[in-house]
Amino acid sequence: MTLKHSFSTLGGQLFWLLACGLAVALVPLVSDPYWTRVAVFVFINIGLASAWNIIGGVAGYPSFGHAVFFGIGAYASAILTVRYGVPLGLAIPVAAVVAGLFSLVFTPLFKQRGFFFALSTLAASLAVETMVRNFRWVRGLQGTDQGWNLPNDRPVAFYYLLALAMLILCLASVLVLLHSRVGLALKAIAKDETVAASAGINCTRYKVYAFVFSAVWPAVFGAIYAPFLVYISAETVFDLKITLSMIVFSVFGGIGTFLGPVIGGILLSIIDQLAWANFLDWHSVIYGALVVLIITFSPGGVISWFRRSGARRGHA
Amino acid sequence: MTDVLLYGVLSGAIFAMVSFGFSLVLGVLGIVNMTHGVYVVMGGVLTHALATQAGFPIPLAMLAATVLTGVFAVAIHKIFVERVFKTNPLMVLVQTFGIAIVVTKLLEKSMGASERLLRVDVPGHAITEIGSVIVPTIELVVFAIALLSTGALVLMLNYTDFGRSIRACRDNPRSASLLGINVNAVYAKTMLVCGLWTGLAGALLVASKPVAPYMQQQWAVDAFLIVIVGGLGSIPGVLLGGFLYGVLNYTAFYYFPVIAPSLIFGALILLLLFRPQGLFGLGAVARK
Repeated sequence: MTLKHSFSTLGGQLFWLLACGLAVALVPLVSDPYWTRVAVFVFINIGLASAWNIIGGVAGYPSFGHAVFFGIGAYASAILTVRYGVPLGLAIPVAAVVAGLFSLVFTPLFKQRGFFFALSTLAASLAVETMVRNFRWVRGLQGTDQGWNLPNDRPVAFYYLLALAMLILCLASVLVLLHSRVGLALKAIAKDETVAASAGINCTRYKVYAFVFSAVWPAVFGAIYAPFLVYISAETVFDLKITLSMIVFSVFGGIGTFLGPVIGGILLSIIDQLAWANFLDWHSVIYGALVVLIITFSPGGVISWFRRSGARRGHA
Repeated sequence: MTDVLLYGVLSGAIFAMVSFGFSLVLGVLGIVNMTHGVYVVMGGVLTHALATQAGFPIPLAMLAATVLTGVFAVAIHKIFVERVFKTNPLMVLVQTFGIAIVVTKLLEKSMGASERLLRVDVPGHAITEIGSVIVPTIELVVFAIALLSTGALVLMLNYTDFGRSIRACRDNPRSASLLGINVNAVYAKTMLVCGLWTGLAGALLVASKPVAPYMQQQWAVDAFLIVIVGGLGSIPGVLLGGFLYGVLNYTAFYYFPVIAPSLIFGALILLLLFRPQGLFGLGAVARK
């Protein structure tokens, strides 16, 4: 197998993913804790963007309420570990299952397309956010709490490795999905849903698969986020900005591609972090301006700078 | 109870006016304009600044702020939106969201981030009695102006050549351009109209409620929720949706302040589940 060929087969891509992952896993040995902490955020962002990309980019159904799954994961993790003393290793899969089941509630929205789908998902997630904010049992440990305090008893390196491991799993599952029948069906649906349906593809079923898949991973990362940040509240984990970040990372890197969210996640997270550290006051302006410029002048994303055809592909 | 309903209806006029511009842009250009909330806030903030710091008489301040907001809307369209919306309409949402963030921050830096309210008393009659409810007259004036200007907009859309060309571009841009309509110019003018009317809504708003730059996100969210509820493509739907939303908002916050947002969103979710096209939506619009 040639080197170039290894980039396009599933086995080859998984190999390269694992190799990069192992290399990255060794980085904390040489870097300082600040950058290790930044890296955890980067991993979470890449994971979120990749998950969104499946429903928003590959399937072509941009969900504008996706932060809700991240929030559900964070809250599930907080409730399970703080109120019931469940170990984190169990809380993460449970959070994923909760989010997956919850995402099935969204299925009626798939009757709509494009804008309507986007706006409806946004409205639905805003509704969930306000309900969490007002439902005392979920909102905090005591009825009067506005958020959850989690124990701070693990070193940064733990979260680094945990987030990295989850990210590798997430990206691997994305690769498997893209190479499977489901991935083919989604690409067909994105190109022209009517034709796909006429060709016998059960569009609703595949859309639901994609949506559940894309809901489960944000929950996993949310479940890691909660103990990492030690304190969560409805404002921080259900924020519209999280959803928009998922979208922007994917668009910036190259929507609909595998590497797009990865590149977008890395570059934009670093830019965001640098802007926040050095220009605190103007940080949001810089970030917003960057987003605008990228979308205005390079809608195909960073990936399109490296491709001549610029067409959306499902793999690297 | 009647006073809450009355205030709800009064606030509904501004909701309707704001949502109308949003719905127009969404229908004609096919984009979700997240800077819409900024138009509202800009209208209000500029009016207040012109009236209190530059000494403009209030009606003139409102007019000037409206025009400035309109110009701003067109500028945003020409510089940013125009490049992107034909090939990638949904990304305009993210793009305009970025613009909204930047402009809001710039507004805050230059004009201050605090809430401001224009205290206006209608000379002679500071308050009016409607039945058993006492209402500041300015609220009624604001309501009347909002209604009249929305009515003017509807009339313009339906009975003037300009309105016809806008509707043509909304229904079928390709045919419109084949018939000789300068579609790009119509798009720019639509944005101007949206900016003007939404800026006016903001200018009127600052006379009855406090306005601050950070409120822009809530206004954008409110506007498209009303459009979803009212149904796309339907003018009466959006207007009715605006009034309903105003009443729902007021009553929910008055009677159940703690769970009011949940009530409102719960009602919206129910509506979306059982009638995804909104109240008066034109059936299943398969738009991608």
